[in-house]
Amino acid sequence: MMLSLSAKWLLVLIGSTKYVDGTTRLQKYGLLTYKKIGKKEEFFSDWQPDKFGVFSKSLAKTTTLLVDEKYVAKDRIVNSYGKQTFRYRITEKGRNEIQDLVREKEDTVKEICGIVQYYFGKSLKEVLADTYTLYPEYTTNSTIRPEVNKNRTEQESLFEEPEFDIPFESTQKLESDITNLITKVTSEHVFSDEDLREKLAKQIGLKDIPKLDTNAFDRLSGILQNKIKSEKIDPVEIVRTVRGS
Amino acid sequence: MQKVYIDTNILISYVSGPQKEPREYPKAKQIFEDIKQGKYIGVISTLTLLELKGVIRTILGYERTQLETIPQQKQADHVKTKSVEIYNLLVGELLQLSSIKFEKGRQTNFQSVLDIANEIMDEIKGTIRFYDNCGVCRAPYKSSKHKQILAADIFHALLAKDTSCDSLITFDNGFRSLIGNSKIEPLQIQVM
Repeated sequence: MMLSLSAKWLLVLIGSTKYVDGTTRLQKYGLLTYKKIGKKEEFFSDWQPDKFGVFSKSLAKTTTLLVDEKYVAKDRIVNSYGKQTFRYRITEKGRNEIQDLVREKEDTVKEICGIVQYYFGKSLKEVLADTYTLYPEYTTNSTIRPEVNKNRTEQESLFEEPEFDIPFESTQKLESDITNLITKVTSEHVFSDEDLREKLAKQIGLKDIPKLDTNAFDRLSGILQNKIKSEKIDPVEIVRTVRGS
Repeated sequence: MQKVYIDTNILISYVSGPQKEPREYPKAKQIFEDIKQGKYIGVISTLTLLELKGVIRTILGYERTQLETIPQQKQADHVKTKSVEIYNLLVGELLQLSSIKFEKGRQTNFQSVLDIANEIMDEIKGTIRFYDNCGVCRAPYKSSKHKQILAADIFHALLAKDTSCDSLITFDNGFRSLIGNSKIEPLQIQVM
């Protein structure tokens, strides 16, 4: 089956990171990609205001096609808000399909990777807030605009800046890595707990999951020795205290 | 390979080290040594990490001399800030350990966990202990206490079972009352 160029760019978008969580996020990435490359490349242009801000029917249909034809894997997951959603991942078949494109148009590929990778670790709220700020014309039918606006206000007051700093608008190039488009990135974490590791790493302020290191056992052993002043610790009693005994 | 759920007290013992926790530390060290050598997979749950936060705050709360040097309205902030710093350090190292699996629960929903925990709590009988002296000053003082399984202990056991662990290891004797419980089995409880 011959894929359209738009479909191939969508494959690049999905394959820019290990996965894309949620249809809403995928659609917003789609719009940002369209705004970035739409003038020079064929990409979905039927963007319409929708209840979740902005929507492209053709992008949605093509996503379904890519899943049906096994270029993209679609898994059901529970997101961090406890809601069921879908996770989209490029497959080996998908990777093979775009190898020529990645070689021939590396600069454009990197532009897309830059956007998607910038938002990979950010919450959907942040993606929405940036999209709404950049393209308010697509928010007229949105049912979630008040909530997104609230989030924007909170962020604005947090940074004490009147405007968002939207990096991909600036002349500075975003960092991008096309490894996942060329080859499947194999994980050293063999117990399928990468999502949780990623979440924990993020919670403690790390950008990526730390690499495994056998010396960590030694570092962890007695690590509290110089961090706390209590002379003795009774692990059973203290845990029971925390548990409400 | 066997999957072993690590109770919070074992993790606390290991990170406390032999000087602060001489009693159980050698056993904790052996457990982590076995994990390092790949003898089994050690499971750290998000419930354990949640308790880790609480434990660090509790320990910092004992540092009276230090806390007295801080204005009263800033003492709780100090504990919170310092505990985050220590927690981040610990989790950063935990993430680098091989043969460790992080778990947040799988199939069982919250409602079911509470239902089963309730049933287990109803089934288990506690023990009565009598005391003739005050636990703090040792002065003569007659009292009694009903010792029982804690709700959190049951949650840990159910989480271990839900994530297909073969056993749960702990230093806490309170877990003994769960040994052989049909709602916990086939999970094995090992009190070290």
